[in-house]
This record gives sequence, C-alpha cells and structure tokens, in this order.
Amino acid sequence: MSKSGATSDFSRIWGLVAGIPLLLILLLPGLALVISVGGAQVWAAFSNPVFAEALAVSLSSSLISILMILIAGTPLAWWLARSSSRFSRFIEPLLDLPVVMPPAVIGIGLLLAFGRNGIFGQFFDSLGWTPAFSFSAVVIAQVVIAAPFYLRAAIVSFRNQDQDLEDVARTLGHSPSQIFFKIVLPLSRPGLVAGGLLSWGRALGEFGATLLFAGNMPGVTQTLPLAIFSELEKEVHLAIALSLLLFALAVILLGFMRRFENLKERVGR
Amino acid sequence: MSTWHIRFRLTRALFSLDIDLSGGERPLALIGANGSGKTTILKSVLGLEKVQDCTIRIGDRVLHDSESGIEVAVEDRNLAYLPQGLGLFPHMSVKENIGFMNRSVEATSTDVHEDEIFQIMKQVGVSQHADKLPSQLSAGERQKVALARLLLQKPGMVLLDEPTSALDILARREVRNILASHLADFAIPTVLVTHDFRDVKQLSADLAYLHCGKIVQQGSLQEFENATEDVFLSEFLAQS
Repeated sequence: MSKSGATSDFSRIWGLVAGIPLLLILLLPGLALVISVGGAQVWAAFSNPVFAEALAVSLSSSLISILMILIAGTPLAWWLARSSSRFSRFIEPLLDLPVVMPPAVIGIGLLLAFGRNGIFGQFFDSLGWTPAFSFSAVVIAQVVIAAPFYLRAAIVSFRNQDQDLEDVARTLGHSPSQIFFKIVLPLSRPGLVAGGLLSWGRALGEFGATLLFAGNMPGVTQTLPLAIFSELEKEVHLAIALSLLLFALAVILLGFMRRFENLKERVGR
Repeated sequence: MSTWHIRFRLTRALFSLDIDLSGGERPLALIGANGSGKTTILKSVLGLEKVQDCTIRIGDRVLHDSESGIEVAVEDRNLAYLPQGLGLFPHMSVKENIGFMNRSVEATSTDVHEDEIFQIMKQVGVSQHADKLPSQLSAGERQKVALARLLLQKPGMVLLDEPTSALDILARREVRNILASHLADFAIPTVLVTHDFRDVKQLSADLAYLHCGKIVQQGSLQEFENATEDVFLSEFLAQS
C-alpha cells in the first residue's frame, strides 16, 4: 500500500471515529427537535398570537439590521481590504470583538452607551429618541452582534480578488467607482451573499444582548428567541414548536449559504 | 530617434529603483532576475506606483513630469497592460471583455462599437468564442482575447508582463506569432518583461537589463551578445 493511501485510510477511519462524539453533540439537538414536535403542535404554534407577534418583530428587526449592515458594512469592508494604513490595521481586529464577547456584556455596554442615563443616551434623549427598551434597541443589538460575521466574509472576499483585474480595468479607462460596481462587486457577490446570510442568521438568533438592552416586551421587543425563553416557563410545547421553526429557518439559510459558497469557488476558478 | 522616455525613482523599505529608459518603435524587452523589480517598472509607468523625480513621455504626450507637476491619472494614460494572469474578467463573456473600455483619450467616441469588437475578434481568431466565458477557453485562446482587447484599446504604449510564461510550447509559439505580427502592424511602442529568449528573438526586441535597481545595459541583441561577462546575461543568451 502506498504511503498516501495509508494516510487517507487513517483519516477516513480514525478521523471519523474520533469525531463521532463531537458530531453527535452538534447534530442531536436538531434531531431531537424534529422528532419531538408533531404536526399538530406546529400548527397550534402557528395559530398562537405570541408566535405571530414574535415572528413579526424578529423578521422586521433582522431585515432592517441586515440592510444597515450591508449598506454600511460593504464600503467599510472594502476600505479595510484595500487600506494598509496603521489606523485600518488597528480597527480591523476590533471588529471581531462582538464575536468573542459574551452577548450579555455587549447588552450591558449598549445600556451604558445608549441607555437613558448612558454616555450618549442623554444626547439622544434630548433629541426625543430613547433607543433603550424599544424596537430600535432590538435592531442596534442585532447590528452589533451580527455585523462582524458579514464584515469578515466581505473583507476576505475583497482580499481574495485578483488585484490585476482592477489594475487592468483602470488602464482601460474606468474610474475606481466604476471598477467597484462593475468588477469588484459582481466578482465578490457570492462571498458577500454568503456572509450576509450568515449575518442575518446570527441576527435572527440574537438573544442575550437584546434581552438586556431591549427587554422582552411582546409585540415590541420580543423576538422569537425571547418568546421561546418566556414560553418555557408558561407553555413548554409552544417553546419547543417555536424552536423547531427557528431551526428550520437556520437550515434553509445554511442551504442558501452553501449554494453561494459553491458559486464563490466557481467564480474564483 | 526615441519615441518614448521613462525616468523615475522609487524607494521602498527593502528595495529601490532608479530607472532611465528610452526607445523607439522596436519593442524593448526588460530582463533581470526574479524580484529585481521588472513588474514594478511596468506598474510605475501605468501610474499604479508612487514614484519620485519622474518623467514619462510617450510620443508627444507627457504623462508624468514631476518638475512641472503634470501627472495624468491611470485611467487617462491610455496605456495597455497585459499582466501575467492576462486580466480577463471571469464574469464577462469574450465579447464583453474585449469591449470593456472607456475611451476618453484620443478617440472621437467613448463607446466601443460592436462592429469594431467583431472585427478585432476575427482578426485574432476568437470570433467563434464571442459568447463564451474566459474559463471555457484554452490558455492560448485566452491570450488571444487579451490581445484583442489590447489592440482595440489603440494604446499609446503596450506593457506586457511575461506574455508567454503560462503557456505550453505550441501555444507560446502561436502567441509569439500573433504578438509579432499585430504589434508590428499597429506600430505601438512596446515594453515587455520576459525570461524567454525566443520572445525577444521573435519580436525583434531590443534588450534592457535590470540589475540592482538600475538599467545597467540597454541595446540591440547584437550589442548584448558581445558582452556576456554577467552570469545572468550569459545564461539568458545561452537559450538561443
């Protein structure tokens, strides 16, 4: 047997055997949800007003969040991908902070910054806008938590692009803005869409920071994850059905992400 | 008589260039060891690198003159650049790739007419691939598409970065033939970076040898053959 054959046998058998416990931990919760919830239970959840309200808050807030992330995040990622200044090198790692920080800590930070008595909260209060414990707070918390996922994907997408293409386009008479819209964006689109979907998924699932900064008010700040949290103490079957719904949404998002990641590989070839 | 003149200095942390080059209508092949700065010279001429004490004149046009504060923007220089990877846009068809240009200088119209695109595609032999993506073409065909775009640009100067290095032997010969005939037909001043002696021979190019950040020798192939003390040069010429 050749050496490479032996190596591939080792990875095939022992890699899988060693990974089984982790695979089980990763996959069993989803499987348990699918097995535990019957069709009648899902239908009952659908017709419950808690579900409709939470779904409306979740979808509207996460769509506004992802729109804000795309509009502000794309140029920021582009600048970070192309700049070699000290300032950009200092800023870039800070953008990952929300990924490693506990959401509860982010929630406290948001309260201290934008709460009624917070550092900037007083300023906003004087303008007649109090973000804390409002729908705006849900959006702000989601943006902070979810933006790094999009930014990271967008920066990588922009950096992976062949710089020669931009150079050639400039020699062909195109301005930097034309190049951005005609070359950079179309070629980065699969990576940007995959990053956007990941970011949207994270915004939909946001819990800790939202609870602390926006509260848990049905119809105003209660998103699906917060509704699950509330219903666990009152109606556990509804909580489980809502969880299955969020799980299904996550699976659909993952499917789309895979599709765009495959596309990214093909475009990059 | 020289039709173009390039002079500039470029300083980086571990690297510096002090370049003075001029030429006529014969192509000029830039040769030198890897990492000596040949591609950087091309990019400096294009305006993609920050340079000092610079004079770039192509024909009657002054593209850069540090003394009088003239510096024409990259997109207005009308210089054609063919990088090693060819710079074809992977999401555009062959036809779109060739027509993707803004003619702002020395042209009566800013739009490229479809007839012109088809004419040039026919001339280099890629008209049957008009609607294909670059990834669906062979290496030689991709090179022809890049060349078609370059010729349609009607540039003031052509800058080629190792135009045949990524090709197999037969495709190299084909591309050399196309380059030699078309560049001569269009009479465009050309600077190419190459490691291949056959590129120099086929294009009847003069040579400029870059060593330690300077052009240490420039002249015809015959002039170089008489002075071969340098190890790099003797190895390069030995390819003949």
